[in-house]
Amino acid sequence: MNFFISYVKSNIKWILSFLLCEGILFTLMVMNGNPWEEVCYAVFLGVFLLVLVFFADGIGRWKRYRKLLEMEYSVAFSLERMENPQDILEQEYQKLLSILFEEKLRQENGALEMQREMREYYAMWVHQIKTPISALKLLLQEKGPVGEMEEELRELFFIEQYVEMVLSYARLESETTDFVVAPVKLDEVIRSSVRKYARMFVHKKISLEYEGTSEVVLSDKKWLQFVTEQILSNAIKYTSKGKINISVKKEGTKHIFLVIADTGIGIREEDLPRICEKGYTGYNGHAHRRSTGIGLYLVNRIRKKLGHSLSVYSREGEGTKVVIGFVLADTEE
Amino acid sequence: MYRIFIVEDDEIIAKTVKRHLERWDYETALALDFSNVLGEFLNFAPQLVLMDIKLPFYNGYHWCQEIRKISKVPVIFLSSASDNLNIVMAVNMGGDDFIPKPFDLEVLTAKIQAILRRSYDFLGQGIVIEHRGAILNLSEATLIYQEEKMELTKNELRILQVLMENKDKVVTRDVLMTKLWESDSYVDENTLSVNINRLRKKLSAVGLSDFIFTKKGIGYRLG
Repeated sequence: MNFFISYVKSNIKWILSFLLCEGILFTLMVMNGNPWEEVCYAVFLGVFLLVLVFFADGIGRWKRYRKLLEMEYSVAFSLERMENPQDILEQEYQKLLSILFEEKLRQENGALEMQREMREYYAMWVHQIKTPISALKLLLQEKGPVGEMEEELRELFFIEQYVEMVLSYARLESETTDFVVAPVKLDEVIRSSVRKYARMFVHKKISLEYEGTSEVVLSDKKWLQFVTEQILSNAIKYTSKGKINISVKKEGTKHIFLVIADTGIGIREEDLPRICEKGYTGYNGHAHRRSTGIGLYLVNRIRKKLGHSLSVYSREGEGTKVVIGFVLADTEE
Repeated sequence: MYRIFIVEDDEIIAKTVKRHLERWDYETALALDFSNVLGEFLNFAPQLVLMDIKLPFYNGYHWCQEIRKISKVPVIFLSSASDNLNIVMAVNMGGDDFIPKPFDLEVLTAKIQAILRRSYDFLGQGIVIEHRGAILNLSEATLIYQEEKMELTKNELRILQVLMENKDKVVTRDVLMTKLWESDSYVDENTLSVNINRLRKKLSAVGLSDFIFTKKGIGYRLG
């Protein structure tokens, strides 16, 4: 209907001119004293021709209109399906489209190139910064092997962690990043994460309950390690006294859950649905200067890529429980 | 005494590692001319090589391959590029182990000891530390004093090791606990005290009384 109205509107001056001609013809013939049959016949013939011409033309326009509608879906990727222009106006419009299209491609490529350069620079920077960090760490260890440099080492540890996060962030954005999914011994991942945070546990006097596990899950070891470390880091960060409990629960024969529960400050109910959003820190963020809203965001993105589930349960003031769900690796060879 | 060749272009890292290994009685040499690492390797004839990956002129993989053409000496890679690809590369090029930077001096010594033992020490006498005539055998988890040999638990071994490695210093309780945590023993303050007391009793039973002193409010020191 829209098409019909618009078609009539755009041709209205032709229709009116034609009708005017018909009127003149009609008047002249009547004044000339032609018989009514002849007058009617001439007018009818005229109107019939009018309808015929516009019908044929209209069908053509309708088809082109349908084509254009279809192109809405493909125009963002390619201009190939465009019809041959019918007149100089259409030709010019098409030319404008191609100019826009090419400009878009150019800008897209430019942005991609910039992103790639940025990522490469991030990766290089991380390796670059690791050399002075390593040197500083060795010097501090040498100066204070028995505890005099604990505060310095702890701050350096934070720097190390943040650098790791930058690297993971940059890698996650890159489409060339490989996720090597293979059977992973959960126990190794958990223990080496705890080892890394040993200094933090001891410093904050938080105890750990973990009984070990022999379960093997399908995951990427390095990325999974990053995920558990982040969750553990949060648990330690938001727990000032009490304990952290790590357990592994099996459900049926296929599913396995890693549960990391703390007795920390918990998360407000209204913050819970948004904790995985990038940059969201919620109430705890205002109260805690080391929150950036990046850790859980990365965790959530990585676990999605790995195909693990993630649920977070929390009650303010009582603690937080983070559950990661895996598919069990087929242990039969 | 084992000779260890350190190929690392960051001066601070190279020198700190050198000093640390010399405290452990290893003979060490630093690579100086990074266009002729192989020549220096041949001159020094080490039993183990620590190899950085990013080096001037040629990278560590290159030198590892060159060394592999003429020698089976164990090579440990040290690198800040610790993604899967680099680790696979390191092993393919003939590396024996890979330590990501930044690393702990302790982790480094432990890996060096393990690889040296695997490669050369067929008799298996193990790694030992001595203090006041007491000999701590890390590989067997035993302490020998005046012909008497006693078995140590994992925690006791670790505590003695840390104390004996830092002989003249007071080791804080936090450091001891961190070391225990790092060897997968998640102890709390009370457990540490219990462990120390039990260890003291064991030690006095073989005649080593006053072996471990308490520095009140700080930590422990060997007597």
